Amino acid sequence: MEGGDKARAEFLSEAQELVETLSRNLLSLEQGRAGGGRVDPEHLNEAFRSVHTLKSLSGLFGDKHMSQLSHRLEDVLDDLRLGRQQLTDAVLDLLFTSVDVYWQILTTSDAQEVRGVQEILERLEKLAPTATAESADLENFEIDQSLLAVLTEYEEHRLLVSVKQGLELFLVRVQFELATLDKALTEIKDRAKPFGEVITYLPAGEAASPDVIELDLLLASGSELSAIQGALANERISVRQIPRQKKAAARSVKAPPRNAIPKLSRPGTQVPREPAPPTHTAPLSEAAPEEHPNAEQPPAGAGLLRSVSQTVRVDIHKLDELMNVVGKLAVLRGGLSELTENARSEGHRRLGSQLGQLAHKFERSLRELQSGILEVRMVPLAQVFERLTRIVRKTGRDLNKDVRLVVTGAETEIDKLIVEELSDPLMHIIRNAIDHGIEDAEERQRIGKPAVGTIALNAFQKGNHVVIEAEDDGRGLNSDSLLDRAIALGAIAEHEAKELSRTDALNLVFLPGLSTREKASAVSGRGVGMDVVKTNIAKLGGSIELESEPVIGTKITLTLPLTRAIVTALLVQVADGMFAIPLTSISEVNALEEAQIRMIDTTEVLSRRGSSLELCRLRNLFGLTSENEPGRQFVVEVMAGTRHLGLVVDALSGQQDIIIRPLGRSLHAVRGFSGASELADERIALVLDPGALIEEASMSGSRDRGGRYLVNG
Amino acid sequence: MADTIDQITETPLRGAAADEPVREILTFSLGGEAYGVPLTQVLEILGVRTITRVPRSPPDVVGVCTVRGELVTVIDTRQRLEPGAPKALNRGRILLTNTWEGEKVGLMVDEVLGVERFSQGQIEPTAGVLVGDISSHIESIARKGNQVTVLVNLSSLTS
Repeated sequence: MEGGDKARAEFLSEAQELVETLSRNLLSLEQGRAGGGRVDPEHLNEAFRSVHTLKSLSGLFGDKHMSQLSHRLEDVLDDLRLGRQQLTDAVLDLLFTSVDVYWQILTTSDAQEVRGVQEILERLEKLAPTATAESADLENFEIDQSLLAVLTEYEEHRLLVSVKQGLELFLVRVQFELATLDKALTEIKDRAKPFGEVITYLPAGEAASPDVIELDLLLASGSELSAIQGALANERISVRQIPRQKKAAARSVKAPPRNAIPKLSRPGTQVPREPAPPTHTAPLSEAAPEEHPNAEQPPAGAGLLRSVSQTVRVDIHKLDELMNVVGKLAVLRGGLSELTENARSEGHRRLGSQLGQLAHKFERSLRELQSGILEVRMVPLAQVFERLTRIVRKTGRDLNKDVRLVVTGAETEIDKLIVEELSDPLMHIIRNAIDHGIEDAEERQRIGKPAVGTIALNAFQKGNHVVIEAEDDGRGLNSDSLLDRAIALGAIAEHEAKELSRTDALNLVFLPGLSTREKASAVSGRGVGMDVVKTNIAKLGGSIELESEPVIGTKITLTLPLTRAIVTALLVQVADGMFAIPLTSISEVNALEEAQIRMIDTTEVLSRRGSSLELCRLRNLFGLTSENEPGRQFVVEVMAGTRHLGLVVDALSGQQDIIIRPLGRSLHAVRGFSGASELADERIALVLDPGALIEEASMSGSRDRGGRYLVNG
Repeated sequence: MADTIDQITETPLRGAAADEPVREILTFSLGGEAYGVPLTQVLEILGVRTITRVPRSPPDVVGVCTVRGELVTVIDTRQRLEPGAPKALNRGRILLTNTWEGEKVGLMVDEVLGVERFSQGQIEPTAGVLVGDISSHIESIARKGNQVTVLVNLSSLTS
């Protein structure tokens, strides 16, 4: 069964990518409509292509729901492409609903539990073509009839649309080497794109040598002939305009009736249909005119069938395995360095220096390998942001609130594994913002805010971290209501509540079981809340912070490491133990000056430069002792978000790139460590989890100080 | 590789009929008692190595070590069978085994005795045989003459 599971997993992952592509193109279409009504046919085409592939894929895997949905959806998208259906808000809504149903199918393991498939199928079926049949005066152009006869339905539609828009038609004749046809064709299309749309291309059949093919590209453009010539023409490419006829209907060259046109599909055209039939079989349709000998397939057509995609799909765990190999190589490199030292100290100077050079080269290649693997793991945040755009749309509709999501920095890259885990927390934050934050339009207008609420999602890289900010312009958190809830839950006493700063009060939102709404709504507030978000972000080695102003809005900032696969760490010694602290969470390292330590209640605090830093002696925390009393100690200042803690250690032992391995099940209850790592000298260092240590310090601090929760700094 | 199972001397099969099903048991000693686990469940026998103690870990965990780059939690087997027993001194052997979740776990034992073959007739369930505070990790008792080997349930021991 393992093989089947693997195949199914691959099917699901491919289907997911296709649904994402579909969704992305629908969003582009919607944006295009909102921004002036122009719809880029490429978006429709790409949406159509994804659904088409989904159809074959789901058929292959016997996924009935997906197959039925894809089938119906393909028809609708085809109608849209061909102008038989107008792209209205209602249609777009239906398309977005289909995407949601796809997600449901993909995420529900039991086919019986998928809901809404039947309903969406019926609604899609009811979509009757709305657009009237197109007619345009093609006879105004002196187009070769043979060319018209072989246009696919889609190409004909695009031609008619172009003519209706008053564009001019041009014929670009190009000569390509057969061997490089693929590339050359893409290149000329790209170069022609700024001028207009390449509607079709056909072999012209006048090639000078058997290695060369001549093609005619039909280009619809609003530009002048000279401009197009200037940009495209060279010794192998000529451009001429298809003249308009002065006397209309002098020669009635009208497009043949649609049903008479054999639906040709040439490999390499934009639209994958069923496998391309060789042209000479096309005139099976009896009405097809025989007189177009020019419409031969490009002889190199078969070459065009080759996949243009240069990417491979790789299971992320295979990359983990490769990273483990890097770890093993790092241990070997450690051995090599040791050998070099030995050779030198035993007087083999020449051998020592040769070994040294070898070790150096080894080191460099190892770094390249490591960064190469890391690079492969990186994916843009757009992957998760696109899903959020859909959530905003849907949630906004469900709650009858008009909300707009403004995304910046979607191209910021982060480890694939982290992206996967970000989806849920971000979804929760966005839903909360719409449900609890954004007011309804009436209320917004009454207090002078724009009727449409805005959620800004902003991502950027900051050193070795990725920062994601989610900011809404809603009503902000009500700290009084948070305090009341916390008192009701027994998390804090009433007298303590009075002493809490606003920041501390806001941070109560991260307490388990605290939801600011009295009534849980269907959208959010189902008991799990910000505490779960916080836990999940912490699991990724990240931190979360919240700022909120009444009436102005709420801003939630997530700070995440770029990758979890490998981290640079500072190695420190505490008693006889070696510990690693990820460099990304260290803000400063200093020698410990006992004179600067003050006691506040039972907590040691370091005062310097006017600020104070809570100290945590790792010897005490971990109950470690050694025969030697520590000499001069060091303070490693670690941070999680804006909270800091000074870890007191005995010695610093340099930096190293480490691969963090999780601790086993028997050690899951142990707090303060994110894992362990084998060092280059084969010793094991336990990796400290600064976030957990800070949390622990503030918790015990709050107990000592009589119940102050979630203290900052 | 000096510590693989292959090098353990096998006790010749005695006392059981040739066609009777036998169980191959890897036997080891703990605090002077003989214990056994099914041979097939032991991946490897590891010799003395550096084990890194994990602060604040439960008393029945010795620490962590690496086996060819993989992190392994080493369990103090005696502590787990008999909470409160003297702590392991980290100079015995480690039986490497897989938990049912696929995690590799090392069981610290005092000494590996060898491989014994027991016929079904020589193995008795513990129920009703022993009284008192019997660890739930013990599956059955194997007897051969005067020699008693306590068979341990690995999946319960390592979870």
